[in-house]
Amino acid sequence: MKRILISTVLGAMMAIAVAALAAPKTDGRPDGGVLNYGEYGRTATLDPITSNETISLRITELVFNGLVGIDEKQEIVPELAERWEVSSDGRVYTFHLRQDVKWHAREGEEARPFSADDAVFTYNIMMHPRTITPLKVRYEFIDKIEKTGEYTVVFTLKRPILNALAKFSFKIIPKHGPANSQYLTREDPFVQHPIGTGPYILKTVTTDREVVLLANPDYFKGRPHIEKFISRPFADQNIMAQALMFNAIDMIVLVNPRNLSEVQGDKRFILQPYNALSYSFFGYNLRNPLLAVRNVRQAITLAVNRQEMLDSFFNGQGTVVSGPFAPGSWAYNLDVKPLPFDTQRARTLLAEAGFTPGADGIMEKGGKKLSFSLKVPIAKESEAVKRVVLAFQNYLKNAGIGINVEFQEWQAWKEDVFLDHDFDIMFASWVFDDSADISSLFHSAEIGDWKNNFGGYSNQEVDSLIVESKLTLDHEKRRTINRRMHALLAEEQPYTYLWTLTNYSAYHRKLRRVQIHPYKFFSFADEWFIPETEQK
Amino acid sequence: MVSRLIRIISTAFLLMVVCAAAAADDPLSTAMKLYGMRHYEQAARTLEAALPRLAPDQAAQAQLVLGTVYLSSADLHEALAHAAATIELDYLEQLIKTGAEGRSRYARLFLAETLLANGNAVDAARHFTRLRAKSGLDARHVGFARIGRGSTAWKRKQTRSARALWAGAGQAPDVALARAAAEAGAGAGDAQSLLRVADDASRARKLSPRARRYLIEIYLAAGAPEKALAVARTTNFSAASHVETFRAAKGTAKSIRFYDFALLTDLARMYRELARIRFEQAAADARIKSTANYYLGEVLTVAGRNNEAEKYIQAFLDLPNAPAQYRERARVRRALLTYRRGKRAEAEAEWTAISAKNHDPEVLADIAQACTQAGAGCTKALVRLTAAAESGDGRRFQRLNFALGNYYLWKKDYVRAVGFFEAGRDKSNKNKIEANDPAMLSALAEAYYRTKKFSEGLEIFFEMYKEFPVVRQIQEAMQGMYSMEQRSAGDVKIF
Repeated sequence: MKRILISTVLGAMMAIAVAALAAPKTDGRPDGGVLNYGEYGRTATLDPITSNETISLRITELVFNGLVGIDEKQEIVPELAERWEVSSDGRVYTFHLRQDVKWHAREGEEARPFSADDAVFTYNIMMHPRTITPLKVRYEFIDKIEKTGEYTVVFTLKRPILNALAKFSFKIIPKHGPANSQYLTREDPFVQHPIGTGPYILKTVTTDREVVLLANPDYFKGRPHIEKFISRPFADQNIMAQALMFNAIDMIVLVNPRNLSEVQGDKRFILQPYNALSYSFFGYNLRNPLLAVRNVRQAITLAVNRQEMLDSFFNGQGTVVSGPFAPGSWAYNLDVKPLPFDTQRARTLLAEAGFTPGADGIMEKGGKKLSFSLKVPIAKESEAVKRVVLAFQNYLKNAGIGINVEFQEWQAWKEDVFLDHDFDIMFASWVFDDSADISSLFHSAEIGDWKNNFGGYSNQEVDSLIVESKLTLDHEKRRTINRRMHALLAEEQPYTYLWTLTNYSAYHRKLRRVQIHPYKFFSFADEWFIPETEQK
Repeated sequence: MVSRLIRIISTAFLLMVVCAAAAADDPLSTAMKLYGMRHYEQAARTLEAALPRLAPDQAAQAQLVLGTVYLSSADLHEALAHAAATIELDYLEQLIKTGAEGRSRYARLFLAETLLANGNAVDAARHFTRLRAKSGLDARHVGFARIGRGSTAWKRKQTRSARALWAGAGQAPDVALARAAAEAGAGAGDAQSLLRVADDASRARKLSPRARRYLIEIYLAAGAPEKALAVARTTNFSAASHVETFRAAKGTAKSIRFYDFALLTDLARMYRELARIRFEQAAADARIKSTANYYLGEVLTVAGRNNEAEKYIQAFLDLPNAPAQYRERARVRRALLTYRRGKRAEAEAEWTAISAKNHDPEVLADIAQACTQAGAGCTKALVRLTAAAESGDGRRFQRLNFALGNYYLWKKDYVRAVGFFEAGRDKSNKNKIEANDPAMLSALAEAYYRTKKFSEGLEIFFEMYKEFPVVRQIQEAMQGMYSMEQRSAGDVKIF
């Protein structure tokens, strides 16, 4: 097969630059110090395959590497692969792997070398039908993977796709990691005590779910500067902000909008915006026949004054969204406006769908009350979220819709929503990377255990548009498709799309050279440092 | 960039002039409040509606405030034009390079027009020339391309060739307007007859976005900015100039939206001219003449009318009782005129001297802006300005931080630019124009674009669109670039 070298030169140059760096960095910056950072919830799993929330994502970013990385300039850079070649037809990707990488050592064991077997193993276990992961949909474009040498792997794609190289940034896990070498579930000990190749080694997870990570002295890019990272979960963002103000922690990953002014006024801290691609929503379980009626879903959205909630509970620090993409995304359809707050119109829609008010004011049809359960994860049980949920309940009551709110422990909520589908309405937020890929949320093939289409939404046109957007190699066509998809899903309202909030991280000025990845957060954390005088 | 001056007008000076007579619910107070919240259009309409009813002394104050509102609008549109030039040119160039299924037939035309409106006639001519051989444009757009070529020829002093190209462009109504606008802009036509063309055209029941842009240009060139404003106010700025739709054998038919970049530069010019007129009218009242002179000095400096600007600035400086802060600011502006006359060292020395003995962040901000506008390094003054910004409270020194952000934007040091903008940005009202000057937000969005933090930039424009729908063209282009440049795996997580 005729191949052309596309990225070899760049890859080789960078490989030379970082070669033989499994030692202290040579940038002259000091090593040492501890970074305590506050999280707004607890991690469920700590591996990059089974987890589907950002709290875990941040940990996995510290512990693992991909074949390639994406730098702050949106350039693809070598990670575990030091160079690569792409065939002229865009279907065959050959990755030449670094030969100086070691897996973190388990206690009492020698560190084992990383090799092509690990890359092959990761792909295979990720795609195994019994592996619990939302990632499969992202990699269905791969036809096969082959190990062609101890440090060479070849991926053959079913078809060329846009941004294929970026897809190979998925994290590689060790073949000797999981207890079950065939597939990975949340019961596997590996998901709680993973080992990786990254800059930090997972040391312990306390009973309070504090996660302690230590600098990897053998990191192939050079030992990271900061000696220890400690992730500390907080049930409430207000308390997390107070912990920062009282020097109990050095960084918080997300500042409550209500605390922004206070933090900004304190010269000890730096506020850094880092992401706009998220939104909150009430998601519907369309297996419930009442919620399968579009009029009902639209009525719910019309009955809720989203702007008022945003202003009242989040100090107006955000934007009401109209559809399935975040406003900062390239895919957002700027022509689609959010449905207005219109209780009367909501009632009219319900009447059109055959509902009439019952004696208690709740709408009913054929003896069935328009009343739903709403499940909210306790990890999101900040004051603001509580108020949102209660306001939602009140708004809907005015439209003749009953809501029973149930706050749940994080893991139980996830099981009810993603595994058992035992809910009517749920409250959550999504965050997207720059690709604005909503296929796992709304494609009918993504209905199933632990998959992201938890509501069972199925629409043939949406399915077709998703497939079409994945097949096209034309950026502008993809934009057109996404605009249509946005309009359609705004009309369909499988969610009541709420808002995107202002996202700021805050950190103490003693932390230097801080760059925050807008999605993965800690991608560049091995370069951060604390001056010796401020280490304690 | 040299012509750029981002400025937040301090309302303090205006308040000194107008607040004495203003009751809480009078139009001046209402307008000042709206202006303070950066709701420029509402503020302007409030004052315009009230002016015929106001007593002469209040009317003069209203003229002054109205001039200031227009001036801020001008600054905003200039900032938007700067951001748009960067982003839209990138986008259009990428569209031309794209070899994917269905290459755009219109991208090169819009690229050439954007280059021309942005002052790059040489590259514009190159693209217009290549369009000549390109088939696929509809007859109307072929006419626009020909007129664009004529304009580039005119700029190269090939007047006969220009006139021939304009004349041969066709007779469709929009094309006739394009010709009139080109001639008006070049000063090649009789003002009265061009005005007639515009007046006749403006009576049409339906006008395309492009036709409206040409009307604005003709009215501006003919010295009728109020008429241009009337056209602008009935223009749907969200509407694309042209939507190119491709055929699709099956599936979704691709479409690309193109916008008129020139609209932004036209609006900036229009508001600046309107501001000048209002300040001149205000200056007729002896009681506020000096204040009006101060602003006339500013508006004329930005417009590059140096001699006239100097006259007004000097008149202000000659006042025995001018407020100290504004005296210093006028000195900073006078030094800018000195710099423009080629006395660069003298100007820089003046800025350095003023910065050395001044602690007022407003004055320091003016120095940073003047350096940016002059394209001067200002190495010595900058040390002092930076130290002041870094030691001061971000929000109180907001304007200085913004000015330094603009300075580094001009220097193409985008990381430092973002750093200063962010230091001054009100984080608890991140994208709210009521808390952050929209011109700064636009510049920050541009800096984020330059550092490939597209979502941050888009988020800013998303909020700005609610008050300033003209930003739609920037949003569309930035979305396009983001779509092409992003490198991500396709991940989504529970937040």
